[in-house]
Amino acid sequence: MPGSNTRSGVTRWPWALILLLIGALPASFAQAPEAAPPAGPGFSVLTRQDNLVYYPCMHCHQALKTNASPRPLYAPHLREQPHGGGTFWCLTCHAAEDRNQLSLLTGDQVGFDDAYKVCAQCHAPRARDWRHGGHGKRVGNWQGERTILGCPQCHNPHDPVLVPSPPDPAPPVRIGFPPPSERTVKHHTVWDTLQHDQNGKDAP
Amino acid sequence: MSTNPQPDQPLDQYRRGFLKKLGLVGGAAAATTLPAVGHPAWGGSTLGDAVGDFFQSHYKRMDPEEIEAALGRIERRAKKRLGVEIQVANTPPIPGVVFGYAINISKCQGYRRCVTACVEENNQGRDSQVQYIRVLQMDKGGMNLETSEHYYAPETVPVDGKFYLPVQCQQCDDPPCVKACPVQATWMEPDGIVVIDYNWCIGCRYCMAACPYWARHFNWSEPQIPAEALNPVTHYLGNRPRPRGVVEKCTFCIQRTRLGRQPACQEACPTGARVFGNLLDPDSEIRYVLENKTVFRLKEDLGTEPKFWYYTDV
Repeated sequence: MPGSNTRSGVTRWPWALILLLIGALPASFAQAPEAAPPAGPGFSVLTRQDNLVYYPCMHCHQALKTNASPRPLYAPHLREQPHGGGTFWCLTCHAAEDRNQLSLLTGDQVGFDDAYKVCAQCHAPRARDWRHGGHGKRVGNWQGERTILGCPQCHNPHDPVLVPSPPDPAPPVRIGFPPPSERTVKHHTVWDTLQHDQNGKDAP
Repeated sequence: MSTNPQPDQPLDQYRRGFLKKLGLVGGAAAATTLPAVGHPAWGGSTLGDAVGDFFQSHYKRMDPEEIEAALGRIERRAKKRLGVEIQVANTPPIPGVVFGYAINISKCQGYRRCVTACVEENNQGRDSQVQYIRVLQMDKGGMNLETSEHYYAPETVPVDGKFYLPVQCQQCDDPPCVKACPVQATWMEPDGIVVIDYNWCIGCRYCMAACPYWARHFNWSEPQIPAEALNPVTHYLGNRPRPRGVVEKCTFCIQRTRLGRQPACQEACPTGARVFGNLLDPDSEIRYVLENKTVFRLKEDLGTEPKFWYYTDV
């Protein structure tokens, strides 16, 4: 039988198989494809620069000497800069000489409308999602030209965590029914029963 | 006047008199009670429109002229009854497009902006409980729908230890509601949207029983909408004014999306948690999410093949 021949071959020459595997290992590492993101569609970012209150910054900063040392700041600047937990100073992101620009870690300068390039330096996976539509908000149409909001449209770059805000009103209660808080029945659900059966003790 | 036949009265005379009186009484009753009904005669339509409505065929059986006439009747009726000029469109599906939806539940904060926008866009009755989107407040660490809360009303959301799961029509590819309908008043359009012909629906609510997602809603009363709040841009299969006694559901905002616009819920979402697009376009955002994120579908084990996915950032 051909099948038994093959099996006996493997049992007779196990070291050959091992050698083959060892030889194949580096090759397989080299070929392990880096999961390349698909080429996303083109997009444009909603501009924000014209809505900035104090822009252009150089109105004041051309008369001020650049002071690179970290220190408490006063209005109109934020007193604290929670983003990064104290590791960042203004000039990490803002260009030292031309305050109308942001600076990348490479030294290149980008405008405030391209702030996403600054964010993407650290938040690479999030930036990839954003670039392809898995994160961030798209405006306008679902098809055709894609316009999306840049990072600072939703996140304050100096304190990026979103703050809780009030929800819209709850759905109306059907006429004649008690309010939902009173009619919530504290019964054992199927889920609790299953857990009770498995644990052998009462569900909370 | 006696109601019983007298001994000296022939029976045929009694009968003739009785019928005469009956006719008089009936006519008087008809004359006094008909105008007293809450709405104008023929439900706010002319006699011709009422007859046209009565003999209107199924949406898929009507030829273009008949559909045009039906749209005209709806517009005239809304004008007469609600005093609003509306435009009822019959935009056909876009070829090569099947709509899909995805929601990032890591990003949904439970603001319910989508619910508000949906009610305003789709002309749902403001007094009724009909809301296409149900945002469920769920306990973190589980997917127990039984202990979810959709009447939540805290000061601010998100609440610690909770996450939010918006549920609406999942536009199943194998929709159980369509199978349940005894009169074929609901069906799936070529672009994947499950729609209802409100004129053909008999209000039996079998589809509501068949839907595992609570996505269908019944109009127990005629939807009451203030005239200034009525959205005049409508579609025959979508947000046109509905009568009492029919079932309605989310149509992915058919009146908007077939023109290339976003659904109202996606447009209203402040967090960008909602992703909508063409499943057949490999470059679309929805396809990126499906191919690169960890997605799941609600009650997938039921085999209804929803075209509605949930995903997380992780």
